[in-house]
Amino acid sequence: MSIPERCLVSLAIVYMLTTSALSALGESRLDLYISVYILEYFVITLLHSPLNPRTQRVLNVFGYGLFAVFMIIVALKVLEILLGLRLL
Amino acid sequence: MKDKTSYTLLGSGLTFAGAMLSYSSHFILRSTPLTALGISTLILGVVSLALGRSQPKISPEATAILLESSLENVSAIIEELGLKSKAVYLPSSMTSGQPQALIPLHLNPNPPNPKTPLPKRLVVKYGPNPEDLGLLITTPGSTVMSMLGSKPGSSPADIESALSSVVTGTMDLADSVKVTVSGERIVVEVSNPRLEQRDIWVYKCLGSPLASIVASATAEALGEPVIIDNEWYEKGKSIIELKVLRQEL
Repeated sequence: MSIPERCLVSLAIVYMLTTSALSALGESRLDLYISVYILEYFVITLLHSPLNPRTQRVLNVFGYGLFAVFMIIVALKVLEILLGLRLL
Repeated sequence: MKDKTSYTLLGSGLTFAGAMLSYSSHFILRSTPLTALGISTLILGVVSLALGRSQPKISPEATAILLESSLENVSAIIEELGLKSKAVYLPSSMTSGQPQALIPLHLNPNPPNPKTPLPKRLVVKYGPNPEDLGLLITTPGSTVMSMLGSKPGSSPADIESALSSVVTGTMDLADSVKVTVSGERIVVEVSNPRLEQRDIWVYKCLGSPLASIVASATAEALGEPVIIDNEWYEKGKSIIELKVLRQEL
């Protein structure tokens, strides 16, 4: 199995396990699922680097987007704590 | 390319299915696990589309034919001239442009170590003596430097990083690369190399294509000539032993 194939299969397995485990635990916060997916994305792509430069460029751009989403989730959580409101 | 199309089709399918599943689960079914499943499918789709870009434009079989034919030609020249000396891999600062390999025409106990940059010719004079003549040839490793973008640093970690980037990332020729430096000896361990070893004349002079890539990249990183001292295969690893020819001041 080549490195790109291994990367894709690892990511699919990790996402499947995460979704099953969190739903089995009765978790209903979507932001938690998304945060865990984003962290797993960074770990798996880092473990399989270096990839082909063209692939790496696309994955880096996608990673910036995911990181922005992660930061928004964190910022909203901090605001929730500070203001005592339910935002997510 | 079949593989590229497969990745693109898989990526498009997963992205579309993921978007539809997350949208319908969130707004119609109001199910968080299903929405999360849709989002994870969407991420997998994008990753699959990105991986499709890594597939080569020409098939590996066509590339192998081109490599084989060029190596056969170089082998024929070297065999015809009866050259038995080991090639010296020179960095680009010692040639006219890209890293190249110098094969001395005469057997000499001291490997050539040119003091001035060599001209861009096939037969070059590298020293003051009449017998200091050699063949300056382009090897598979010569073109590798253009794939690196910038010149790698000279520390073992920098060399390892540059080799990993080329051998495992860009070219997908092996699973990992490990570099150990002790004095003038550099040992490079390449795990699960995908280029097969053959017993042809040119390999005795230049080393295998994998060793040639490793030697060229190392010579360029150090800015000093390098020879492939030894090369062997054990337990799924190709071990390449290089010797650095330090410049005398």
